[in-house]
Amino acid sequence: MRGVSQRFGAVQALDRVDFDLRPGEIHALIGENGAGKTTLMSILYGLRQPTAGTIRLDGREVRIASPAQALALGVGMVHQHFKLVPTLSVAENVVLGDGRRPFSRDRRGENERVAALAERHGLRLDPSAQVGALSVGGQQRVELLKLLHRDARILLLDEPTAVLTPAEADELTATLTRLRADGCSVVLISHKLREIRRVADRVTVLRRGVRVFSGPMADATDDELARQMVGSDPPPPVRREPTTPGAEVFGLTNVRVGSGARPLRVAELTVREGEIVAVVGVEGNGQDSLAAVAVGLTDPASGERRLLGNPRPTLTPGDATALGVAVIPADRQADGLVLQMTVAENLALKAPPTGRFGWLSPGELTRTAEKLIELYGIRTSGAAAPAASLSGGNQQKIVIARELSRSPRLIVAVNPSRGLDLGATHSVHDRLLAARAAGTAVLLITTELDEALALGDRFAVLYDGRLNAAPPGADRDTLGRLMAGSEPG
Amino acid sequence: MTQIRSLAFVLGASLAALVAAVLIAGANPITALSALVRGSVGDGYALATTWVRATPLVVTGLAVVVAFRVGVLNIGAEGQFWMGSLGAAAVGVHLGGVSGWIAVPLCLLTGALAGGGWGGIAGLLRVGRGVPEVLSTILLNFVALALVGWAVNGPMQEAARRYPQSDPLALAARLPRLPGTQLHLGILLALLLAGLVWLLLFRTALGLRLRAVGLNPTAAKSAGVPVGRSLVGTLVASGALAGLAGAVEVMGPLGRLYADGSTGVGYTAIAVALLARLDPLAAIPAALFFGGLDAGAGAMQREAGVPAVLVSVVQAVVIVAALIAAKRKSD
Repeated sequence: MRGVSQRFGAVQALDRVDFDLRPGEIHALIGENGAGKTTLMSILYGLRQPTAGTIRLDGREVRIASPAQALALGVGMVHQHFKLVPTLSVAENVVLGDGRRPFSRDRRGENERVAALAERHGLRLDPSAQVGALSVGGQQRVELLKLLHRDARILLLDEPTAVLTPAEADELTATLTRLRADGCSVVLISHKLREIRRVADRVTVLRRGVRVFSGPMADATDDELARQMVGSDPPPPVRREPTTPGAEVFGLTNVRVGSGARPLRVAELTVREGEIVAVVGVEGNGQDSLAAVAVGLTDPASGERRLLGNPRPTLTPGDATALGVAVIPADRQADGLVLQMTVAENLALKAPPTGRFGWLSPGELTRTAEKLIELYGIRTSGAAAPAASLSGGNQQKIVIARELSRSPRLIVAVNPSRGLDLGATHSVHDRLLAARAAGTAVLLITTELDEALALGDRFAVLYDGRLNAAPPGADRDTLGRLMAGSEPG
Repeated sequence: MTQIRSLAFVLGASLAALVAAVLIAGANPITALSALVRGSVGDGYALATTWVRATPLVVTGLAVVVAFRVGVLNIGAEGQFWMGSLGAAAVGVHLGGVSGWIAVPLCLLTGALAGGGWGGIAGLLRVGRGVPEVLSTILLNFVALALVGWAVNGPMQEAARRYPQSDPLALAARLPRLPGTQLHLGILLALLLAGLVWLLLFRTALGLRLRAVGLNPTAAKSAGVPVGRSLVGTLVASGALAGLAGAVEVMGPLGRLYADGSTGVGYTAIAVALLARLDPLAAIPAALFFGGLDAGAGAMQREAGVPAVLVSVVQAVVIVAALIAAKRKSD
């Protein structure tokens, strides 16, 4: 790809980027959120048309107008969110849309061909299994198989490990290595240096739409790459001062939430003043239910929930707010903010600065907001700007400012740094640690092991709807094993 | 600028629809249109008629604005309006010999309560049983109309028992008029309500939270807003506004309850709210626009022989044009 540029309105998402992919290599494409990694690959996959620039495949200039054309040229992409039909079998998903035999089917032949294909590439898959019943790692293998079935020679993987357990990530690494040996080229979009170090041959770094580095993986140390990504020295790792935990603020005993196929079960969980309890687990193992029961969005079906020392069998989000529970929800755009409203209105949502009779003076609203904008370093064109106009990191700062400025007793934070760049992540972590130092109890529910390790005083693991406390002093390996479902031991 | 352009778009579309309707009716467009203009803004009398027709549209329009702002699709302003008329008339006919200072507020209050209760039924069905308010409010419209029909043919029929209508309301329960005109106190009430609704939505903490419910109920819920209670409360408030409009109609221009009084006001209210882009203050000009069409339609029928019902074609085109204009702006 040569001189590829892409503009979205006033935003220059890509600025004359060159990108070379050689046959039979694994090429890591790294950069912070919003650096343009996904945009660049979307252009290669025909999802977007570049504003300028050319693409050459095997020396021939091509125009890729759609994913169908990309596939015809041997370029395939696995998205962060899988595009599978959960009710169909593996084989059906694989052959779906390949355009062969439009009016008839050969079920047994399909299964055999798909099985042979999976065998050839060393992908563990049962072609007759229903896709919805597979693990996330299994579904990802189906996505890969789909592309291999279309004879894709160039595989684009967007943040493939974001949803995997450490063990599944290892398996993916092995698969990719094997595909490389078969002559496939792989582009791995990531922001986790640790992972790409193990598997990538070469690396390209994008920063704010500009290519700032490209070369063999061995030519750059992790520190150098991190500096290239951020554009300055990475912020120092967060420092955790020792604290002495106080009384219990939030607790669950023998709690069961929901009655569906997969209820959440918690034998014992307690969060005390001045400590961060980090609950790790792969996405979809009960995080939503745990957060919901902590902030009053649902009540436990059985068991005891305690808040500030009192049993609370029923609790509404309004009660929880009044009792000093702050929430940093997993999906800030869906659950945290009203995007169409202004920054000031969003900041005021929980505790509007009202006068008599619930009167809301616009001046007061703006003044309160401007104070918080200043204090929390929210980058916005003003208090009256719609929340939707801010970047993801600054939207998260609105949520954090609103929640933490009220001196909460308990903070429930779900993936608080998701989608944020290093600087923003650092500031979020700093805020949580400052709250901890001030004696606030923090329940951190995260899918990022690194985040949990950096912040947590104690750890618990969610697996298949079950919350288990991790043994004291658990390290990365132990937690990783627990996240994959092995028993503590 | 976009505002002006989309207004021009709406007006242009309605003019084109109007000309087309007139041509279909086989009349001379120039004659018809000048009759329409004369009948709506041509003189003092026409202007007063426009205002009188617009008044119930302002108030029911506000009812729809409030509901839509909170994300409640209240299609039942029509039924709530009728219940308000029924309530006000039921009380109003018995208030002979009572002071107007008591009778008027009492009738207005009854109308608001009746309309609010009618909306509340839909609210409880929604929150308690998950019945979509789009369905329940529409269906309750039919029930309300049937109730009115039954009342004016039965328990509330005039003493003479001749027509399906109630006795006239006691004079004390009639809204005072500006001497020598049809302009009644309800017009002032409508303007006042528009201001109040605006203040409620944009200058109170309650309004902030209600608007949050309308734009993102999950975020509002997670921020501690009692979403269920907000929905029920909104349907009650919206119904009360529509009921108030119904009360004003029987206490003002109509004077008694008819089986086929101001049919369709509650539906045109949706058009008013959409044309006003859910802005309570903009509901006033939007209602005047539809009120003017309504007032001018009579003149058009008399002078150019164009059936007044064709004006409803124009209303429909205006709604579609307003929706297109709103959509284009958001794109």
